[in-house]
Amino acid sequence: MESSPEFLPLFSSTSNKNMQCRDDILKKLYLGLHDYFTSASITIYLLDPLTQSFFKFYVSDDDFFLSESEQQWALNFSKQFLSQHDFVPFFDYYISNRLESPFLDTMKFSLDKQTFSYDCLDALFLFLFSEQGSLNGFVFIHDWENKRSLSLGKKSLLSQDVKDFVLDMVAALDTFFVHQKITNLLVEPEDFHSQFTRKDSVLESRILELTVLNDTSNALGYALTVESMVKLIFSAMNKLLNVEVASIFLYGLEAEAKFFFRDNCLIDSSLRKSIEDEMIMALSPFLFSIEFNSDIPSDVYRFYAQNIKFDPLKKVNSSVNVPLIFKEKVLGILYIGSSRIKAFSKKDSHFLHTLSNQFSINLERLKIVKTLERSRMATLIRSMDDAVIVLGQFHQLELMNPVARKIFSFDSENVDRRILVDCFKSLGIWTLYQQVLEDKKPLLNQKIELENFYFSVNINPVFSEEGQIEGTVLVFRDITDMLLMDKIKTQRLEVISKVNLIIKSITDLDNLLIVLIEFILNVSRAEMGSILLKEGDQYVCKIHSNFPEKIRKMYRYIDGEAISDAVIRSKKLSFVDDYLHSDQVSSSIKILLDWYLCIPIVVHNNLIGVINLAKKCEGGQLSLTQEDINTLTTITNLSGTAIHNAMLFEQNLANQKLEQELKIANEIQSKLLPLELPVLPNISLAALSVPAREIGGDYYDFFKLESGDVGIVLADIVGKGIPAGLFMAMLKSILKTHLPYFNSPKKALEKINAVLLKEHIIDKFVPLFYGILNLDTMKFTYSNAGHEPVILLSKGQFQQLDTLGLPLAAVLNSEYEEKTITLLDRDLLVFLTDGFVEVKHFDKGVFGLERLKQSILEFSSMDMDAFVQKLYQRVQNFSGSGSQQDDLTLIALNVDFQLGVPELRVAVDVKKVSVKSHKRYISYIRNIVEQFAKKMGFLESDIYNLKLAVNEAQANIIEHAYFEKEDGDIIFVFSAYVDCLKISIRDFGVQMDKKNIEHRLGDLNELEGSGLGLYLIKSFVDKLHYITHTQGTELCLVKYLNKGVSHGNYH
Amino acid sequence: MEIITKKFESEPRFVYVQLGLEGDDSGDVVLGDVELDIENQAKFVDVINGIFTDDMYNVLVDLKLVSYIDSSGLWALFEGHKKASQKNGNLVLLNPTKDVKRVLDITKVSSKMRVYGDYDEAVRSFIN
Repeated sequence: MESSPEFLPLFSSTSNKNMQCRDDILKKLYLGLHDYFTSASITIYLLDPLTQSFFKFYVSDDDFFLSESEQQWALNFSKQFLSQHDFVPFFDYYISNRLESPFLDTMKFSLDKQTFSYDCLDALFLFLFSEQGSLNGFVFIHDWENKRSLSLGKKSLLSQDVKDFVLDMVAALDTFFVHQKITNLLVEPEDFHSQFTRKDSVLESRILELTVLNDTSNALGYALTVESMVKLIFSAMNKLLNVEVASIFLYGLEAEAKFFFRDNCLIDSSLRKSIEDEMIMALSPFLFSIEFNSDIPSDVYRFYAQNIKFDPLKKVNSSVNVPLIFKEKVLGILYIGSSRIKAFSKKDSHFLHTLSNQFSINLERLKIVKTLERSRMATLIRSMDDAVIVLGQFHQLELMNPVARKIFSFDSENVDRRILVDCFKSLGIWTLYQQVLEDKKPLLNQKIELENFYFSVNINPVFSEEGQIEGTVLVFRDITDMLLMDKIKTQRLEVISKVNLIIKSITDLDNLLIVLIEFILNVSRAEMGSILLKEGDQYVCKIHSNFPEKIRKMYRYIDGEAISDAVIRSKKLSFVDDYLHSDQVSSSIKILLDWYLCIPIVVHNNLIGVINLAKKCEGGQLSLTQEDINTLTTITNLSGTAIHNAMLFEQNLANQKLEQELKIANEIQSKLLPLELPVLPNISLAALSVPAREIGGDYYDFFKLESGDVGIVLADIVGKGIPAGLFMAMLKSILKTHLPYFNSPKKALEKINAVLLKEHIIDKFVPLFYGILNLDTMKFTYSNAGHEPVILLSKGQFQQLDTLGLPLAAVLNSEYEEKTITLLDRDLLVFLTDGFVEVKHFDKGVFGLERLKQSILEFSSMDMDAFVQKLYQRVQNFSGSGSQQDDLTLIALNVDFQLGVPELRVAVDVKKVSVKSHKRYISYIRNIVEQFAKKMGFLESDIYNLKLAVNEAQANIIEHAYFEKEDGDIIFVFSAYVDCLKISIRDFGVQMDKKNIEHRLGDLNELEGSGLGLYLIKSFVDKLHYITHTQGTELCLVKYLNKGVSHGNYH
Repeated sequence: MEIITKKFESEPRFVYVQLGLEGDDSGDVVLGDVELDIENQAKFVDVINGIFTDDMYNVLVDLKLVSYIDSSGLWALFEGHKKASQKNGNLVLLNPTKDVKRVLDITKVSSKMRVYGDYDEAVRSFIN
């Protein structure tokens, strides 16, 4: 029997004459009932209103006590009754069959039944109420010991007498309690006060308790990890209990995991150990099959201790262990301890119980959730193509999918932890795994090799809320194929970039081809290769390796076309695999082939060559893969540009060389043409020759014959460039040697033809017109060797002067005709090359003879210098295009008897000076001008003017024709005539834009640049004109001597 | 060609520039005819620019010994004149020879620049 609650002695110590004391009343009740239910077991339970628990009085037989839960049931039952019924002092509740009643504690009942082997199952409850409508207690009556029913031998269970008796007793008890309370308050006000306060604080703590329980219960419902739940439990305990150490041991939560939580412990290890021992001891009755200290490594367990400092000197003097049980399954144990003695009340343990119930329910819920999660995850993992292994906290295998099982050759998907660890260790995965655990960081894309297979391993730790590693997921992706591909690609890229690098560094075509063929043979593993490049219309083999053209051409398609020719035609790659057995190709070949590959080299859509590759048939060799072909194509494409560049480079080099040669030849040639025209009596002459390109093939010249006549030659040498230029020099020299001695053009030409052919100087035809003018008679005898006829304009009528005859150097012993006319005053002879007639306009067609005649007529009254310029411009403008199509050479000869005495027209003095285009020669030339002009008798002011004019012209040439380059040639020819000084200034630099010159000449207000110079020139000479030459320009200045004032030496 | 410059700091402030073939022993006077042309005009331009950097914009150029001038010489004079005018100064010419005067006239330079036959008259021109 439990000790009475402490307030009960108060009742007994209180004496009141009118009042029966509590024990008396209860004794009276017990005895009265005992009289009625003879031999039955009667127990009176009184309710402590503060704790809402019962304590027993007058137990007649202690063997059949009511269990806690049964007492609880009685309490709840009475409460329910009170809430549903009007007030009665007492209520009798008879249970006829205990087995069917709600209050049954089955376990205890079966125990009772076993112990006492009875079959009597009825019992009576008498609930005793106070006038305030609350339960004071109840009486429990049965006769199980005698195995007799209570109703045995009775009409009704309770007679009216008994009921009245009980009513009396209830009233007495109630009166006593009320009275006692009042008395108590009156007699002991202080005590009352303390009672009141106590009640208050009890209520407060009760409310706190309920709040904590409610909050914790809610929070537990949301918790998804054991750790978070444990945290909540500790926190709840902290709030309510005076705990110094606390710990939770959890067991059997996961399929194979056994948890013993241990963390954050500030208590010393020996204390911890003793706590652990105590907990296990407390739990041991539930854990029949588990051996704790045998197999499981210590780090497998975890222990949570509350974060409370516990003085190591102290001892744990009070402790409570509450098992965590759900549906008869033990999940673990809660422990609280304190150094104080009797630190925990029954109330505390009640609280702990409730807490533990909540905890257990939620642990179980979590378990279900986890199982669900696991199964879902497992399904997912199972279906993955990558191998997946999930390890638990203690390296135990949680999950392994079939792919993983296959890779690691495990027999089943349940592998023992140790086997797995050993396997990982042997494969080197263990180190990686440990590293992940240590770093707490995932390891990604780690490459490992497993028996010639490559895997990319990802190891991801799974963290708990506290940041601890709960497990690890290992994913193995088979990257063997990928790596292989990568490897090949890398190799190819290396080759390609190498080629690229090399070919970029080589500009020399030959070296480039050597490197290239070496590379492609290497890559393709072929022995035979050749590179053909386009030269003109042909594709020429530039380099080969065991693959001369002779052999290459034998590899043909069935239709007879060589493979490379087909590629050249189609510009498409051709690959003949297994050449021996292919039915597309001709089999009549010298060397048996595995395959033949022909790659076109295409740059900007133009085929510039082809690469041929062939592999000899040796058997057992790998064929060319598409990858190989792609690589070769890439290399070809890359080198195509380089080859093209190299070709252009070589061509450019050749061009530069040619250009240089041309320049030299041009200089020679331009000097071959007469620098100045002869001055003839009664004849006005002008000539012009403008080549289409650097070196023209046109040639004109004047020769003074032995007879005193003048020979006029116009030739058009077929061909251009250096040979034509050189030949012109030859021609000039031959003509100079022979012409003076012939008075007949026919004979002269026959001689020249013979010389040309005899000397084998050139294999080109030379169309040439030759005329001899007798200055006395004005008879003009001419012979034409296949040249454009000369046009004569006489009295408004045109006549073409022509004779039959082949060009010179065409056939041996060629015969020529000759004709003679007599020129009249104002007759105009125009010698011109075919370019004048044949010049084309894209729309209007050729210029033609008619337009030419019209133009000649139009300009015929002009000064001859102006005439040639105008005619040239007319033809130029007609073509419309910027560039001149053909060489244009023109000689115009006008008979003018008004020109007077022939002698007057002859230069009495000529001085030729050649200087370089350097400024320092300006004053030098100035001095020459001064001396020459002084000698001629010019006035000082005129001399000054001439000096200045020449000076400005020279400066202009240096600046604008040679752009201040100092190595250009400037040739000055000073010709002194009776009445004038003619100065010709010839340069070989950039030709001046005539329009620009004219523009500048007209704009004189601005004192800038060469404009001022040109203005001065024009101001200080009487005549000025430009002649455009093959190269460069000739400026002619004329200054007349002041008439009537003659100081010169020529008079 | 020798160019001698003399600075006059009292009012009117100006620089007197003489061109000649060579300086005499004293270094104050130039002697001998000189031709101002494309070959040596750069030297003259340098001297004039040097004067302007000394913050003097009144310049009197004595052409007495310049027997010949070409377009670049004319350009040098005219450029000097333009620069001086921009700074409210004046570059004036003194005593050009007959031939040079003719060139100045023909090119209309003389209509744009002041040409004096007398030193004092030229100096007085700086006062206004």
